[in-house]
Amino acid sequence: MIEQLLNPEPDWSTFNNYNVLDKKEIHVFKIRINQNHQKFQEKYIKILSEEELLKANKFARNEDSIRYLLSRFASRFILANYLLTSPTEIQFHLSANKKPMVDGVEFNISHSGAYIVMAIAPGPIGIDLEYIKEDFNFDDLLDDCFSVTEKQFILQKNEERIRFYLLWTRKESLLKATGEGLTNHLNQLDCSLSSTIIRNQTSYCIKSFRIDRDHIVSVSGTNEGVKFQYWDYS
Amino acid sequence: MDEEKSPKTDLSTQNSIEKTLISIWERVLNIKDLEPNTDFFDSGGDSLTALTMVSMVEQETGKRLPISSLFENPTIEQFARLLKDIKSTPNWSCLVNIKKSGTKPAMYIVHGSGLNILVFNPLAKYINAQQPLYGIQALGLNGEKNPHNTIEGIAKHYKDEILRNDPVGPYLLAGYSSGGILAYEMAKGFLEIGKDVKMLAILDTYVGDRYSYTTIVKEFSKKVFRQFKKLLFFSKLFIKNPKELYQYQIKIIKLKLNKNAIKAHPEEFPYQKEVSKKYDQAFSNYIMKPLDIEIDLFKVKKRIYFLDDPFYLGWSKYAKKGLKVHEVTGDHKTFLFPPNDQKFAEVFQSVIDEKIKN
Repeated sequence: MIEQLLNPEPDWSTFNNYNVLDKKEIHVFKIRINQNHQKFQEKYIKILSEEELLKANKFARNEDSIRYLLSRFASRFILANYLLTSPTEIQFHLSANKKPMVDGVEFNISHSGAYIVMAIAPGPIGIDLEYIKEDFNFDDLLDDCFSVTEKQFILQKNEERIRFYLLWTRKESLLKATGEGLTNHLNQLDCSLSSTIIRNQTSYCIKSFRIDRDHIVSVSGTNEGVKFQYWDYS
Repeated sequence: MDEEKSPKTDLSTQNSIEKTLISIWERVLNIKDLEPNTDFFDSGGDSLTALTMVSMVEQETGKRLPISSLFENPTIEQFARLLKDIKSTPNWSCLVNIKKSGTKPAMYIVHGSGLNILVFNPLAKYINAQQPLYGIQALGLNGEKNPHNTIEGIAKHYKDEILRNDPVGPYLLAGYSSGGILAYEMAKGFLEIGKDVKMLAILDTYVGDRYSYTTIVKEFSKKVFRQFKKLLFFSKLFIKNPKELYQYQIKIIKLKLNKNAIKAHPEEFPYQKEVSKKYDQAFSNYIMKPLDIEIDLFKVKKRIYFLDDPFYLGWSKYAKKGLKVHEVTGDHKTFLFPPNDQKFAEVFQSVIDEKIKN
């Protein structure tokens, strides 16, 4: 049952800033934080805007600041590839729901644990990554987040924790794709057990897979059956 | 049972709320020395931690803010100001959680003429471990005015409360005695908004032998009330554990009412009489119409008073998709109580399981 929704880790191709990418597919990038930060940290100052560098200083924790800098750095390079421009020319702006956007292509970013992930697509796209925390008490959130059927799926004899994170990332990625973001009545949205769902007159497909043993990613996009490509950023 | 949500924290000043929030945020974000101007999302907060935080704040303060308000008010100072201004989560509810745990869809059982749902406690003991159970008790038992004097109004209120508890469904409904009519009207409401009512169980409710489509049938309401009058005393006679009942009621009363109410007779809610009157009116004015639904009628084997339609208790013409009759041991007043409770729970559960399979 869980296997129907959760795929094993896909095969990643190496992405190295010189690939030229097709805007018509859904592309998913994984960016390992430590390794890429080591490699690129000296270049941040040349690529990122003054505003981004200032914002990085606002984070309480160093790791949050690093993650922010790297995600802006990598996404500038990745987006430049689709928009056929240079990384410094990328102009981010925020949607009404504070989702970062650029003109010309749709993308979405998420981070947790050791990774940042990014999804790019011709149409609305949402991605959510969660590191499976062994000590996270999710019991109290079940009623707020999930419908009765979703709760039934989670509260089975084995792998409750994985099931929770799986459905959570599915729901979150869908709400990011629709642009709604985290809504107040998550338990009214009974979506995470289907692979396709119609929301606001648009059909979305949701796909989930693992990264390593302890991260789960879900991607929601509008084009059913569209080809997925997986890139390991380095 | 309904737990009392008492604020553990002082919510009177901005300062004390901020202190409470700092302690919660530090735990959720796993970070120390937060200041009032700390921004939740700049401190590593994401949507999952935001939800955890809102839920913890509710547990400690009895107040719940919508998650979206955090995006607009991401600092401790701003969030504390919001908390100070909102009222507590309303905690009087007709919905009482009799048995919380379980993965099956929840069963909602509407009170009978006793108006509260203590009668369903024995049932909870023998029902399947995976079967959550809610009782719906009458409006107005907390001393607040019951705004409804029609069956339609009361049923809508109950339906809306169930929708708040579970907006998706499917729904399993049951009504005991006169509550059967309320459950029937609630089922109608759910069907009207396109919801799936997997089961409508009528627990020994008699609706007479008249097709009351267009007229208000006084005869019918009289018959329903014949059952009522006898049942007003059921709690004194049939609850085997009066101490438990007493404590439960005192707890409810303490929770909902001022101190004076505690002096009220322990076996009755202090407002029971007034509430009964209001419900009587509603029943006598109700016009019942056939509904596009299948009904499961649980009727007792032992009938101690005469009925015009002892086979279907008058229901066959209202269930357009069919009526299934299940016989249960005991009489109208005792089938929910020992020694009949276990048998009833088994029959009831097997019908539920059959319904949710489809």
